[in-house]
Amino acid sequence: MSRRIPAIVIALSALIAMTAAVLAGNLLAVSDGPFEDAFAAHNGAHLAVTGTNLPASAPGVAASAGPYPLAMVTARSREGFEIPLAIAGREEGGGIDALTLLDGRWPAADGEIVMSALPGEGPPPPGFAFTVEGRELTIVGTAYSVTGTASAWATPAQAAAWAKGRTQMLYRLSDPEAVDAAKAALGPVEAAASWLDVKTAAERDTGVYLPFLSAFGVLGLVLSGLVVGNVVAGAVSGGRRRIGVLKAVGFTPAQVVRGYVARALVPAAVGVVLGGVIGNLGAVPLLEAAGEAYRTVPSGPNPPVTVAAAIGLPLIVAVVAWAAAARAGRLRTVDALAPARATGRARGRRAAALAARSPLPRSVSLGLARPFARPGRAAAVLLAVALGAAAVTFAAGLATSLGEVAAARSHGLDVTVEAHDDPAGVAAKLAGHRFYGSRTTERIVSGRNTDVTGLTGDTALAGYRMTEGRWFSAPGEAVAAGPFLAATGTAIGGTVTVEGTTLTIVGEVFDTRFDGMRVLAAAGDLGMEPDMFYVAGATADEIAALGLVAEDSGDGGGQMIGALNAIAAAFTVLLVAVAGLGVVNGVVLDVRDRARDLGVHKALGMTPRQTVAGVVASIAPAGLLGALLGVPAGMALHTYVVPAMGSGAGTKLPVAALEVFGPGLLAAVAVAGPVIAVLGALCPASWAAGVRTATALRGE
Amino acid sequence: MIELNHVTRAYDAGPPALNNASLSVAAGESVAVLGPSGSGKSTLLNLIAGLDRPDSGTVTVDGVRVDGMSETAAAKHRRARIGMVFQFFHLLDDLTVTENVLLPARLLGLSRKAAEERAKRLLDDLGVGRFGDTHPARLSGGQRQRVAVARALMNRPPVLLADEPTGALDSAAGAEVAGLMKDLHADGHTIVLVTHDLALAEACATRTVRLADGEVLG
Ligand SMILES: Nc1ncnc2c1ncn2[C@@H]1O[C@H](COP(=O)(O)OP(=O)(O)O)[C@@H](O)[C@H]1O
Ligand SMILES: [Mg+2]
Repeated sequence: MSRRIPAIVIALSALIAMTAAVLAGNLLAVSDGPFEDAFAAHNGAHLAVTGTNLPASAPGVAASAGPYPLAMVTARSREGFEIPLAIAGREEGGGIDALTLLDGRWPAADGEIVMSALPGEGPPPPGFAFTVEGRELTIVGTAYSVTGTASAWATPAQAAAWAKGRTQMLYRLSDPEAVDAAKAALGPVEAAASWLDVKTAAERDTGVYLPFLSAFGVLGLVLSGLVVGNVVAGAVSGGRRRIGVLKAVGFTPAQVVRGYVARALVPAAVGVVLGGVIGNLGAVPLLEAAGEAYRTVPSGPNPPVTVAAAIGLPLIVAVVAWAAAARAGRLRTVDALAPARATGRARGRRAAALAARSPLPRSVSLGLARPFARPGRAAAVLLAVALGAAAVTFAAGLATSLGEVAAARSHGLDVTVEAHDDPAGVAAKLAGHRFYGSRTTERIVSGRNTDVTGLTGDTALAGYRMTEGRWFSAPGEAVAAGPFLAATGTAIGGTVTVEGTTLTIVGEVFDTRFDGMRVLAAAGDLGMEPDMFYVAGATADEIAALGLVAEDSGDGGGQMIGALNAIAAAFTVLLVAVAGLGVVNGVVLDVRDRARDLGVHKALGMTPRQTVAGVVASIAPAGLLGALLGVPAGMALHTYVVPAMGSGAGTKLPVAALEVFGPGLLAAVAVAGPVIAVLGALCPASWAAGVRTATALRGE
Repeated sequence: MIELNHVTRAYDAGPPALNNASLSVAAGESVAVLGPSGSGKSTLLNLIAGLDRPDSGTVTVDGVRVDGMSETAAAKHRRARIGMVFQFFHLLDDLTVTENVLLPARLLGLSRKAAEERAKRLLDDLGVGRFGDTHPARLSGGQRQRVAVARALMNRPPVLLADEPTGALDSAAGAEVAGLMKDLHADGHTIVLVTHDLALAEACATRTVRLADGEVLG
């Protein structure tokens, strides 16, 4: 078994590195490709502006389309939900922001609309219907706008009937980056949407994936390189005699080294092929998720990524193997052929003598002295354990952070109560319960389409987490999400005007819905009444008994967090496996080196269990030290990567999501190093214990 | 003291290393097993020491069945009842001479002080007392084999197994070790000595047994 282990270790390391490289590479490739392609293909609008009497040309404007009538209406679903819709009156196609019909047909009469959808999303469920101003709308199809200039389209006549004079103009700019200058040149407008915002939103998803995929990717590459190097170095040190014989019969040093490199490359190639397959399979769901975020047709895996990784990885393996095998080339033939000399290192000897004199059982002291006899190998094993522990620490921290983010994003309580008709009456009936009410509508705030949420009742129950400042409390106070504050240039302490009411922003809230274009305040301040109530500590039946329409709240979204956690878990398992294999390899080499010593001990009466204990003890220092180095490294990585993921997603994260390493979690991850070390050592240790002593003690 | 009954041991390839071999050694006897290289001598000793297991037949030492013992039981059997001496000494190079000799006592869990005293006495008796703090690599072959004998005697085992103890020594050192074996026999040890050196066998054995192609020729 020991003979095959180095090849298996190399193959698995290469497999994992390849999988990581293909996944990360595909996400990278997709993050700057499809949106721009789709934008060019559909001649997207650099600037979409809402207002009245908008100019057709202005400095910086290369081309324009419109004006199109634009209706901002509140549609009511059959179930009573209110959905804000921006309905533009346009024909299919168009010179700028060409509209593509995905299914159904284009509206031909009053009362018909097509809904905006992403490719692959499909039509709304059958029977899905809205009323606008008391009139039922017929959804006749879905259409795609690369810049998302409206949420639905109707005939120009129908849109104009609802638009109350409001229009939309679409502009192409001579300098696509100079959006702000062009907007200023248009004069006063009601709202403007920049293509850069759409692009940023499109890139948000990969913004989340990239930092941690890169972290795992780098960890994976370093760990795999380390393991491959260690395996080859081990093969060289274990093959002294063989090297000597090869050279004696006329192999040149370069040929000897090439032989070792080839022995590493063959299993690495197997790993690269398998890793390429797994990586491409794993990339499909990831890219689908990314494609939806990009508002483009999801693309398949990118073959050049696989090709590049398939060339690059073996190169890395070759270089590492070459470096590790160079010693074989330098080894003098006479030395290689001389009988193995006594372990000459004074350091190792002193440690062995110290251990021999220690009061520890011989089996344990025998092992504890080992790392000193071969400091290089011990360091490699230590590093493998430390990297494994770092991966576990990082992943555990990441999972905890994501859990906190999920908690911060979930605002539903146990029971959801509908209150479209009589909010005050519902609130009165809920008086004995802990609840809050809310209503969200789309408004134009500071010139931006913004989701405005009004809250009543015990608003703390809604569970919003602050990234800065505080939650609103006094009348006239509001909080907003970071992207809104950034997009509108509003600071905490500044004011915003919602439908004529001026509100003071007292805090930045963590909220990623509606791309973070969100303002929250007391419903009263916004002139709103809640349409939904959320009740804590009750069941739907209890609330229904009060004569209310109530249902138990389901699980809220969290798909991306689930995906992130799954990917992190998969990478962690793989990295821990490589770290464990690194330990296995180190211990196998060590046990092989010590076969005679272990044999002598067994001949003198050392039991298998003592042998296992000795081998495991030889790895214990690496396990403990690995935890000591790996846990802080993992924490540092977490400190660096998690905020980067947040800023990739365009948001700061709540403090609770950043400071996750409490004593409990630390204690849990601190165990990882020793566990990796001991599990990695157990297998070769029992092999050592089971090896026939008679064989080990046969003469030279 | 030692009973082998119809013992057969075959390795994966080739003819059996031991073929239906039987041997009986009484307490206090010194038996030399003679035979050419590859005749199964080491295999025989390994079976007695519990380092190897027969495919068939039984091995009994000091009234205890050794074949079929678990590895752990066999290890304890060696600690208490068997001292082994090898052709290539098999001393641990990273330990001093004294520490090498102390090893069996440490495995048995003897008190350090008593064990050190005994180790010193053994090394003195065997004429290598002054090397206690040196490493085996500094010693000559004969000196190393004396240290190995001291180690084998550390736990006062009733049985001493020696596998070509002079095989790696020049004739002068070989003669010294031969004398040593003779003294040990005189002290009442039960000895099984494996060698292809007729002179050694005659010098220190009360009886000789011949092995050829895994069969005991009597
Ligand atoms: N571990 C082993 N694996 C395979 N064959 C072995 C092994 N040990 C010994 N043999 C074979 O068994 C036979 C007897 O070996 P051994 O007992 O060492 O003989 P001796 O000690 O008399 O030289 C030889 O043919 C040898 O090659
Ligand atoms: Mg032999």
